[in-house]
Amino acid sequence: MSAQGPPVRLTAPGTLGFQGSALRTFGSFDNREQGSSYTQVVAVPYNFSTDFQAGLIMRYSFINPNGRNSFNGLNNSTLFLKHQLVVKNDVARTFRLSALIRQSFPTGKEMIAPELYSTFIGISAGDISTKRGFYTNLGYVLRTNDFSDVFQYDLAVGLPLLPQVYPLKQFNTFLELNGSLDLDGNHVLSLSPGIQFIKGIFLIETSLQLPLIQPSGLNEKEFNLILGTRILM
Amino acid sequence: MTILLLIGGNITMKAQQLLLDASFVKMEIKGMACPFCAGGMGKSFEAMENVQKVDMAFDHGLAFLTVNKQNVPTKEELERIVKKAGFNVGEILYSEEPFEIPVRSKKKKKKKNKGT
Repeated sequence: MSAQGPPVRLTAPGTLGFQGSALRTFGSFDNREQGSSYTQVVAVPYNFSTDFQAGLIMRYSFINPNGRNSFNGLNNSTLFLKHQLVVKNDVARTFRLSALIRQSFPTGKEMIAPELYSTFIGISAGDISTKRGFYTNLGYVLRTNDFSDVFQYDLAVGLPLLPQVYPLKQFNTFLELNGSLDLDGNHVLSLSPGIQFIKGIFLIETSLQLPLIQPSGLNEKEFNLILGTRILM
Repeated sequence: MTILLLIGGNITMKAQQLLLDASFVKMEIKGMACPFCAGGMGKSFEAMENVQKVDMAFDHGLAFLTVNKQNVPTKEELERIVKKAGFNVGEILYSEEPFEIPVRSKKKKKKKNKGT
């Protein structure tokens, strides 16, 4: 087994990979007790240097509440910064640790997104070899407008299913755990298996998220499915 | 048939001419654990005017370049590109002959013990 790609739902710790910029877009389908929603996400990261990346995430959502008319509109937008703090390179192996800041703005239409500013401050780390990758994201989200702050944690392991070749042709599988705990004690933990196909500068990926722990009575999530692509530019 | 042979012969001659005009570089690169991430570095090599062909052996942390004999990239040039992509350079070797690119060894099949 050899060859690795970036995890599907976590932020990868490295800024490497983009000799300038990239484009990522994916559709996210969320099915909940009280209805469903579809969000198209577009992210454009840009490498200002080997260890500093910044980018913008825009979202457009379609909401379908049970028994009511559906509506759509722009969702909240996010600016993000990633600064690589630790790099330990070896043959066919690397360890990376980056500081992350994500600032979200209430650009969303009323009814589509909550009126709030949120600031994520955290880290992304990864111990990656050509045979497997271990990743983690840890962070704290400060939120305005009486929304409770949230501690977020994510873990992922990635395994390649095809031998490596150049030009690239890879098929990878990921198993991710995505958790959050707010100051009111609400704990959400989800399991997200995913697969990823890479050919040259194109990447296609999908991930199904299933809740393991979630507070009852708060519009419980049944599942979330994302399908998307990334292109190195 | 004659036309096909002529075309085939022409292609072979061009390939031989390219090889005659070529030099070869073997580079040890540390940190190439994510080939998708390293793909950007491959693109940088391919964008160099004097590079004809790029090969990577990720498991061995090696990159192989076929370059124009008249305009061989210097070690400093190559180191700069690799560093910019976020990796570390080890040994850089030049040769007039192609380097042997490591091929992934297939898993040995267990032979059934037929007994004696």
